[in-house]
Amino acid sequence: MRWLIATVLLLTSSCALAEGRLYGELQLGGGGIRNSGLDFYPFFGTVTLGGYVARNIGIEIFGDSSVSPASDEGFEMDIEQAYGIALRLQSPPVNSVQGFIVLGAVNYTLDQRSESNPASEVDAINGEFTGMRVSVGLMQRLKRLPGLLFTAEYRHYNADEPLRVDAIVLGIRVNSP
Amino acid sequence: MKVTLSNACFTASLLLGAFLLSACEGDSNPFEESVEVETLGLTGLVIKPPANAQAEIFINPGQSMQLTLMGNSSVGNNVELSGAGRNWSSSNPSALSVSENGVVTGVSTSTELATAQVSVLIGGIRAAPFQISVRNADLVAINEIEGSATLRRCVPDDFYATGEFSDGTTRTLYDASFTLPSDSGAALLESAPATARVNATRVTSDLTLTARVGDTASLGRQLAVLNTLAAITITPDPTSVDEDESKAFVATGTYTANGEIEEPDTTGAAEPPPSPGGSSNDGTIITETVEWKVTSGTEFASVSNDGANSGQLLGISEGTAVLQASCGDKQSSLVNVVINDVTASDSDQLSFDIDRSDNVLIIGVNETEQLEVSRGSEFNEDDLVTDEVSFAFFNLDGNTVEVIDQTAILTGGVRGLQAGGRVRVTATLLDSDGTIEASGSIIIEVR
Repeated sequence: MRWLIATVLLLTSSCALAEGRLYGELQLGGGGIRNSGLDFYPFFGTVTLGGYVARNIGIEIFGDSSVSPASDEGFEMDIEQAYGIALRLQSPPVNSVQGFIVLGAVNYTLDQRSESNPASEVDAINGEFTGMRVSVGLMQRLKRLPGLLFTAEYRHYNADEPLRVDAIVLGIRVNSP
Repeated sequence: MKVTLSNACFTASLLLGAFLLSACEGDSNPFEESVEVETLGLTGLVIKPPANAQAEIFINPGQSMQLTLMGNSSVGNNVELSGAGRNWSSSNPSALSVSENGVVTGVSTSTELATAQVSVLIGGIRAAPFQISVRNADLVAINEIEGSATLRRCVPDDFYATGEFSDGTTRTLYDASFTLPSDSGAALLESAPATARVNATRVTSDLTLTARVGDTASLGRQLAVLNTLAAITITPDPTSVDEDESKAFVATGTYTANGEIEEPDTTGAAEPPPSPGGSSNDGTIITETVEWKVTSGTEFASVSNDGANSGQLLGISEGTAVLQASCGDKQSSLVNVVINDVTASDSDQLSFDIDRSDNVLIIGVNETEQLEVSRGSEFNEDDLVTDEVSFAFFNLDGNTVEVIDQTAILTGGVRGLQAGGRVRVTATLLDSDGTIEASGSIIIEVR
């Protein structure tokens, strides 16, 4: 998995250089995870770097890191980290607003522990999942700072397991000139 | 066609991305089991063999057996757990394999004895080892079929067979097939592996049950059918059902204590039940084993004979139907059911304060909830009758364990005891004459 991602990163950077336009994005997400009838809503931060390989088509890498875990019924759940690659498909801008879809692969790590017995190794579960990422969202170009865009997206990580992550993610995106 | 660098990069990235997308990995079991252990308050695990297993279990190579799991909770209850998708292990895989669903299979083909300890790990709790021995041996003879010598009509009984093997062991025959004479008037119902569940309905003489494995057959086991079914009572009675709505009826058999052997009978249907509206706690619930029939007014109502849905009457159109529950041709019971136009009054119905529209209340083990009941087909907190109704219940799905607290339910309190169990709870409101003024029921599922 990791060597494949590294290969794609290399390819992405080559492609991005070939097209000449890069972008970066900083986001804050509120996730939703359901496990055995318990609902957890942890927060995470996410960084994205990418480049356009064609008009409105980009390839990007992204990484998430925990901001704060969430609790329910005596358990604590956290999106410890996530990373992956994705293909971004954007619509042409209408009144400075663009819609987008992001499809990609993700590796995410969840951390769960019992609040009643936080020191217990038995009750502390750390699991790694690999699957697909799907996002849909909108981005609005800022009038006074044309290189900056405000973004809002719904994101889904699915590893063909019950432990899936849904998230609402808000952020600021910077396009290179 | 001109191929640009962008197009090539794009295509290559798409192909790699597609490859990555197909590589889903991860295991959610530890996360789920950790919650399960804490929620149920599990302190220990016990591996259980199939029903009717011998004290020492021997199997042949290639033979499989399903193990099940019971959890010990911190409050002293035993909780039935699913064995599927668990971390099962065998101490001697070359003798005995075990699947992630708890199915063990003999591997060793030797005639020498090989033993293996099977265990399972759930949320950090490991079950005590469960020993199974593997040795290749031939079935020499089938012993007399085990089980009660007598049957009550419409009360199914279970039977199983054991065999003597060439290595001197006695083993339960999990691959035995059972037969009854086709014209016996009794039915072999579905049951657990290796178990024959016999339901005597139209039986007019003793039954002969036979077990067979391959070419080896047991001697016929004689089963006497007792003439002890005195009456069948259908509740609620009388009652009404709205068009396009269904209502669950309960059949209760009243049995006499004497063991008189049933004589052949040709007199047809017996008289109606002696105590309409009697409590379902007074007799044996036989809802799933009687034959339900709408004897008149079939254009107004239909009734199900399908397993757990037996006794569910569906209102088709406005009119009056007669519902019959019978056990063979000896005893039957009739009730009048009025099928209401949906715009008609619903004053004879009771409703429960639950969220789900399918009238199912889901409750966890050791969770407690107080039922609230009101008049009408929709729950109305301004018309509560909880303190005036009487509650009755019966287990669904053939469970014989205590699924909910049997004392608390008499006052409408529900406390889940057995995960996976279902009960139907009926509330009945009587008028001053003792006849049923209104009734309603829900299903409670314990998870």
